[in-house]
Amino acid sequence: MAGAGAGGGKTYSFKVVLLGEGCVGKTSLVLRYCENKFNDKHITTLQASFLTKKLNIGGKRVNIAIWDTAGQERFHALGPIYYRDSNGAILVYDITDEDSFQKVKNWVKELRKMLGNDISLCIVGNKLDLEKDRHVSVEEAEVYAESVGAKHFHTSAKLNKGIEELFLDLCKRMIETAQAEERAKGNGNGQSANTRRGVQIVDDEPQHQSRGCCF
Amino acid sequence: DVLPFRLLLPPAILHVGSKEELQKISALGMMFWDSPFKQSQDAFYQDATGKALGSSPTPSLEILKRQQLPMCSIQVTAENGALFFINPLFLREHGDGWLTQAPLRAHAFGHSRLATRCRKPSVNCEARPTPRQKRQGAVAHDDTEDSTSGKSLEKEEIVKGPVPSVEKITSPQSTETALRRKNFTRRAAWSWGDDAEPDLPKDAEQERTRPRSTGSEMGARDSRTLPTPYRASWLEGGDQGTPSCLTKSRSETSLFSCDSPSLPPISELDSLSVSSVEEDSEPGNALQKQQHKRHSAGLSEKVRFRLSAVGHAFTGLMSTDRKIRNKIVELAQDRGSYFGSLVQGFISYTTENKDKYASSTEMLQGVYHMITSLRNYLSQSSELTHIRDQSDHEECDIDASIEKALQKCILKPLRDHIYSRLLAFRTRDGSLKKLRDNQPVLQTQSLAELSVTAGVPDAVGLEKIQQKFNAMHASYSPWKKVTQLLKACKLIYEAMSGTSGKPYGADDFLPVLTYVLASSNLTNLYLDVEYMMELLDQSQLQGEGGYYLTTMFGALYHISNFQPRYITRQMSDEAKSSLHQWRRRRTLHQTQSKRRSAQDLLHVSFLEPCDNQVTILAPAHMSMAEVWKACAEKFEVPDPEDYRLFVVRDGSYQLLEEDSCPQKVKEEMRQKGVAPFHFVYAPKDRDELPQASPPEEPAAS
Repeated sequence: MAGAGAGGGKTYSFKVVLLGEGCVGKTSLVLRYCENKFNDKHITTLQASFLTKKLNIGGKRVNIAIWDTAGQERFHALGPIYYRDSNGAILVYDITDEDSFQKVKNWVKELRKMLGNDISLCIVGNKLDLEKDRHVSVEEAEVYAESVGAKHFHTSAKLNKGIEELFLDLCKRMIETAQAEERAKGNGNGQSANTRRGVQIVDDEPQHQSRGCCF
Repeated sequence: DVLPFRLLLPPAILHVGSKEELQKISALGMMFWDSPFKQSQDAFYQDATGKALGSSPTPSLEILKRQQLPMCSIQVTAENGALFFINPLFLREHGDGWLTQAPLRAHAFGHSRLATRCRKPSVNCEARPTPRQKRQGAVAHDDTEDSTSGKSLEKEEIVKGPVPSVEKITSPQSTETALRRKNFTRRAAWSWGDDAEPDLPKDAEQERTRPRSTGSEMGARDSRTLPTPYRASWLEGGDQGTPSCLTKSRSETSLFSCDSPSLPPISELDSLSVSSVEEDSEPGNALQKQQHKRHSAGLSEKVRFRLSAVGHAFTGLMSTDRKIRNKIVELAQDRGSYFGSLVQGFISYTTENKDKYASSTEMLQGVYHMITSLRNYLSQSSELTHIRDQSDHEECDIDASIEKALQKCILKPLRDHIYSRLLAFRTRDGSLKKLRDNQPVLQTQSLAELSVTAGVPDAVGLEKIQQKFNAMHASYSPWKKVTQLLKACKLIYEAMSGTSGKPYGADDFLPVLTYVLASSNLTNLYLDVEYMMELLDQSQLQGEGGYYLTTMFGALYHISNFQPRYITRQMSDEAKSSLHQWRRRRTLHQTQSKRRSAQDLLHVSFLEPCDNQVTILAPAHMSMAEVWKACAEKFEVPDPEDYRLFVVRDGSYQLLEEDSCPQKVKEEMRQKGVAPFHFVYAPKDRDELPQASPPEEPAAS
């Protein structure tokens, strides 16, 4: 799922995967972001599992497709089929739930192993409206995010706080990555197809390793 | 609309006095025409002529009165397709004086008015107009005008036959209407023959749904009353509208008729129709019949003309999409053309060499690659230039059309073969068994155990979803399959939300989908998902279809690995391999793939270039020490301290120092020039070893 669109008008299409434990408010977050922007083309407005949004950032058209994932532990194994080919990931935890933050850390490890540095990560502490019940310290979360090359945001889907900023920042970073990729491609010599195939073959290696590291 | 001829009932029927007699006649069927019964009645017919013009009620009319039958004003009937309407209002207005213009037929007309024309004769002239009657009234309206203008009578034909059988209608507005009418007629014919006991419905609703009341018509045929009390349905002003309204009304009536569940098979209807033998019923009719036929023929000409006009309109509007698809399908059938030979060759090759592929993925990818290659060929070939030049459509539309057409050319004939191979592969590797073995386990789980938090579809909802799944399975086209998949998902969401309208995310959807799948045909679905995953076009995998396909795959995976009290985190090997293959195909076909950059990789051989080559993930910042460590783990050397990394070029080994950075070295080497180079992990005292010969094949990254 390349970020770069067809030439000319330059439209970027990004896939963003939404990860996090159940009940942290992933769905509310994305619904809030796409609120009243339900795409008629979607099968039904009753669903918030797959949403799209169109943006214009500095004259660049950006289409993002947001893939929600099931956060229950039993569906954890399905992660790879959702986050493959993602340009960005939004990892959501509940600031009142320390455990959900640990889950985010697990996801970050897995994503970095599987997708390297090409995926832009956002770590999101949701439910800011429940500040008084906070169990995850702001400092801890921000230090961690920085250590893994992710951006940290605080949001409240309920109060519609921080969500626009989150997506805007993520899109900007995904555009940067895509542009860097294009430049790299420009320098490359015509063997891209082969090397890419090579990349894919290696992909299984981290998967094996992850047994030890991630779980 | 007016018939060119008058329709007449055989006197034998006109003068039937009781239900029993009618039953006898109806039992005769076709034999009626040769029966002595008819002959004897013919004699009586002459006698009855005088009476017929009088207004004394006949016995059968009395019967009808006693039973308070609803009465019908209009006859929709015909002989050999002619439609026949009579407007009783006209009769009331003008009396039956006009009958004298055709004295010979006057009697029959007068008496058969009810008989032939009324499906549901009634003596209750005050009866409230029913919807159907209104329609009939509207139909009759046309006739009224014609009759009043005095033109209709010459055209009307009274058919001397017991069955008012409409094969053709005088003025078909459209083929559709005509077809419906035909159905209507057929049923009428059937009900006639079948109607042993007159069923006398009391309201129009019954009339509409049950055409069995023809018996009562027969009874009514005995009525000697000319100014029969008609139901006043056509008096409803609103319905006497424009001809367009008329058309609609008529087709509605017909629609009701053909929707009737009591409609018997067509063959039965045909055999029961006696209209075909009407020729010999009345010699004087022959000429009229000929005229009638000619008239009908003329009408069908009109219909044909209109149809072709419609056809032309469609052709003019035919989209580029359609043109391209037609053209490609046509080309594919032509073995003489290069393209056709490729397509046909591939199809026969695939079906004949079923053991060619080692895995289902390989097979599907083979098919996909063929489609891709053909698409590339077509998009550059001259064969479509003509159509392409004509269109002002965007390029991507044309590509989509080509893709669809190719799927039709290749997947349609291969679908069954592909499925049988998929089944064989997935049976052999045990994945289907695993899935099916777990299905009963899933079915015993409670909703809570399945993590279901939203509503689930009820039995009716499940049935609807299964229908979508079945349609999905039956289709050959991956994108049509996806459409059905999305419809099924939509139904699931609707069931989840119930009346709340609350939107649900993946946390809620996946468990419910799992629940639905537990009662579905998992074998079909499993094969469908694989079929779609491998054969769908890239663009479709990125959108909503791709999302739900992924979710479906996930749910199936979850089912096949379901363990009630054990949380599984590992992907099965099959799942991993399937994902891997999928990704691989997608990458191959995507020029702008955005996977991990190749610069991060190092290909390192052990001892000699190209020996035991492994790939090491080495980002730019990775130090030499880390690379050594990674190599030591990969090659499992007992004494890592004694090994170092070399770069080998033209057979010369160069030791990389600890402070160098492998990625930088790689970049430098690449910039230096053409000769292939290799990273080799070897003992650091390697210099003392004999030089290796230069590698035959470049294997550098």
